Amino acid sequence: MKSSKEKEKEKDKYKEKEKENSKLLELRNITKTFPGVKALDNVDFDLFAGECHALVGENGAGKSTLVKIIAGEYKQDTGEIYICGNKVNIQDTHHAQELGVAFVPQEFQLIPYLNGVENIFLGRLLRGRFGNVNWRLLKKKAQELLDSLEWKIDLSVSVKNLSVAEMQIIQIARAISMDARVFIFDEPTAMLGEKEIERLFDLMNLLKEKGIGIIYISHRLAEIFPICERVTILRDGKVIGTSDINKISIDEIIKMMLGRSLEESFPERNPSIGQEVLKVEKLSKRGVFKNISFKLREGEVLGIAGLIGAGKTELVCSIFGKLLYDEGEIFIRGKEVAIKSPDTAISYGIALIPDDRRNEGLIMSETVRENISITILEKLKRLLLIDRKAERKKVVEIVDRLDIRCASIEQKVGYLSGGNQQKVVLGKWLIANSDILIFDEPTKGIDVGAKRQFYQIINELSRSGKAIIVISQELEELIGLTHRILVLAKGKVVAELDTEKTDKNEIMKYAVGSFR
Amino acid sequence: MSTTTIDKPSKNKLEAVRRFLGNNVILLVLIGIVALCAGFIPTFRTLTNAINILRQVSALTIIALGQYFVVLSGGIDLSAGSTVSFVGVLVAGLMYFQGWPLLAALIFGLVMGSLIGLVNGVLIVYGEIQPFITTLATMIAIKGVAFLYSGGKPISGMPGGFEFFGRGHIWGIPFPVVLMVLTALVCYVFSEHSVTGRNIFSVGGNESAARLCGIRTKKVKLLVYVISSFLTTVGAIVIASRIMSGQPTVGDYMLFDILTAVILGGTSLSGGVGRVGGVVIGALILGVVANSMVLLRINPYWQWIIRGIILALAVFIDAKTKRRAV
Ligand SMILES: Nc1ncnc2c1ncn2[C@@H]1O[C@H](COP(=O)(O)OP(=O)(O)OP(=O)(O)O)[C@@H](O)[C@H]1O
Ligand SMILES: [Mg+2]
Repeated sequence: MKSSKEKEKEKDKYKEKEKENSKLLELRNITKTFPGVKALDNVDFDLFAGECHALVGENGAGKSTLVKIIAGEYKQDTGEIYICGNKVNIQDTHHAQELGVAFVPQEFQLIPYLNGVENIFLGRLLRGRFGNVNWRLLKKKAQELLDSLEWKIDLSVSVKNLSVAEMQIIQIARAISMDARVFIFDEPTAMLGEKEIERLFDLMNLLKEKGIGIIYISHRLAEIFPICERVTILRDGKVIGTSDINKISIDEIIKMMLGRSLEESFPERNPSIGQEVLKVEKLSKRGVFKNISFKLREGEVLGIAGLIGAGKTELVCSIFGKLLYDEGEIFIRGKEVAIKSPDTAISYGIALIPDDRRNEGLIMSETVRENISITILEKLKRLLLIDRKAERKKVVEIVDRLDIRCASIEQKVGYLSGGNQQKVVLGKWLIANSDILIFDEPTKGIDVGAKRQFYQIINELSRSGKAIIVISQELEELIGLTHRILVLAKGKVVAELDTEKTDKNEIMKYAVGSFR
Repeated sequence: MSTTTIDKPSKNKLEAVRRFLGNNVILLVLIGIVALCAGFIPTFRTLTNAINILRQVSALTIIALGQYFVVLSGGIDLSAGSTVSFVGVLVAGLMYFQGWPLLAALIFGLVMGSLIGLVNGVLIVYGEIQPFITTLATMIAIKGVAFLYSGGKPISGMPGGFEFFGRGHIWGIPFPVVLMVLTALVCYVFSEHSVTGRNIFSVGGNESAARLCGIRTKKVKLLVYVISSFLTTVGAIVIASRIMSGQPTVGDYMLFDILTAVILGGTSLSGGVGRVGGVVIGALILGVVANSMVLLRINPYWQWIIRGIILALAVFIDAKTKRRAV
């Protein structure tokens, strides 16, 4: 590439010019207020053809709000939107689609009882020339789309039976099946594994070559460098800066996001490991996982790695009594236990932080306070009634500790930003003081600052003798946090690795099965 | 770092007032209707009439509060109307046919009434049958039982003392009104301040999330049907006592009013959202409307149409507010 500098310069110039002509999207002075917060404050933003523009910022910075305005879900209070130089007044999501905007939202917007094909083409079924819907054709189209991405998903089951990663893939497929000029991805990779992410990036490169513009939101800052051309940093609803990606470093981005810099990300592991608290022996569930055995001791952090569909979530759900296992035994502090429902698991001191916050983690109709204190209501009982004062105190404590951004603890969780919702899910289990904590994708969607905070908390918990299991797609996280890592592939344990002596590559090799 | 999490009401007073009004639309509607009626109907604005309305609405309120917990949990109890008829004829019949003493008849009535809820609950929770279907079935079956037991005819001629529950007074206040206020207070404290009450909200809001938090969702769901039929039974006794007879048809049209009161009171039909105060206000609105229609001598057929419109409006409001709440 670097044959001669002059050539490069000329190229740059040429690009500049072409860019001017190819501004797909421009936002000017966008302001949006919700009760109690100014989510966006005079935001300018633009997007060129063939460009991927990253949008980063803390949880609650206003990223989703901004893209939802482009996608027609919200209406800005003031400010203008131009698409290909024409001022537009986006009425609703349908209108945005007509204008060529395809949107993959942060939270699932799928219809749980419909299958993959139906969800992918939802709202666009009737556009055919004939009255009836040609399901065969649609199914074929959907299948081709997924095949081209090497994503294997059963399109004929209701999406409610899919895992969160699969749901995410359906959402992405839904967007790319649209004929759009602007694509918006709001944290598409939060639930995906390395392999799926690679495929997604291939796809994004393809889109860029076709002259399509992409707005890309992510909290995995490292991944924006290879895929994006520019980055815009938001803080408290304001644009802090926009830069070419190769003129900025990750540390600079973090500093602009948080207004401060971060030091070492992972605290030192807890050195003192105590007695065995949990032992799983030959646990099997037909068609899902088989013969799984492992031990977990006080103060230990055990990681579980594996590709999507390897059975990680199902395994921990079985330990927690959410799913029932077919065979095998579970021992807690040496005693065999029969866990048939979550409440028995909880009575044994186990907590599961689920990966699907919308369907299983939160009660959207309730407030931040109610969602967090739900696990400790019995403990808050004085005589017959709940001690409201103590409840508030505990909740405010955890809200401050996790830096949950909400207008007040009486705000409905449905109105919080995605990352802040995730922090509420963490909060309600951190408050419960369980002995065995199982985190299923705990940091998805939370910003770098909050991640560090969370790592700190995990560390403190393990130092205080809690036994912890962490499932994560982010291998750096597993390597930084855990003592041991269990690698699952196709429902079986393929390796048990000492974290100190392993690395990302080894884990991946086991996970994809190339060691066997 | 965070200053946003301090839990203080908005400093801006105007904003606070706006929010209060926004949260209490239904109260404003009640005040508006009362003001309207008081302005245009001279016979409406007397103390006697006010007490009359309260007395008439008391049984409905008590029953609607029971239904409230079911709807809050995400279910529905269609058998409430039939239960009113059944308990009425049962209690009356036990005293008149079997010659049971008052107290025994009452206790037996309460137990039998609550048992209906237990049956509903077991079928729904363990039989995994839809609440709508289950309670539709029990509604029809109980109606049959009420007719069989009474022979299809009203039963009257109960011993003295029974009329107290519908017509008696405590400190000059009608007993049903006292009972209504007490029930509402207990329900309020139970739903807002007890663990079980809070769990009902959670189960209605998101059952699988509630289950993962260790809430025994099955128990909670069973309980709400028992609460519903128990309170329905209490209401039924008040009604039977007021009319001093057990009539197998008395509850026939009550279900409309019960559900209207619950929904009008802001309870979300999909569960998880509602307030006891709202239900009481919903019932009061129905009471005031019914009373003023009688005072204005509106044709009973028209009264039905108006009730229908109110129910439709209530459901409309339910749908509208749900869209707003994410
Ligand atoms: N519908 C809503 N009603 C009220 N407040 C809202 C609503 N949507 C967002 N907010 C608030 O607006 C702010 C910005 O939220 P937004 O979802 O845009 O954040 P974000 O940058 O996407 O964060 P995250 O990284 O956590 O997804 C937050 O303070 C949030 O609480
Ligand atoms: Mg967001």
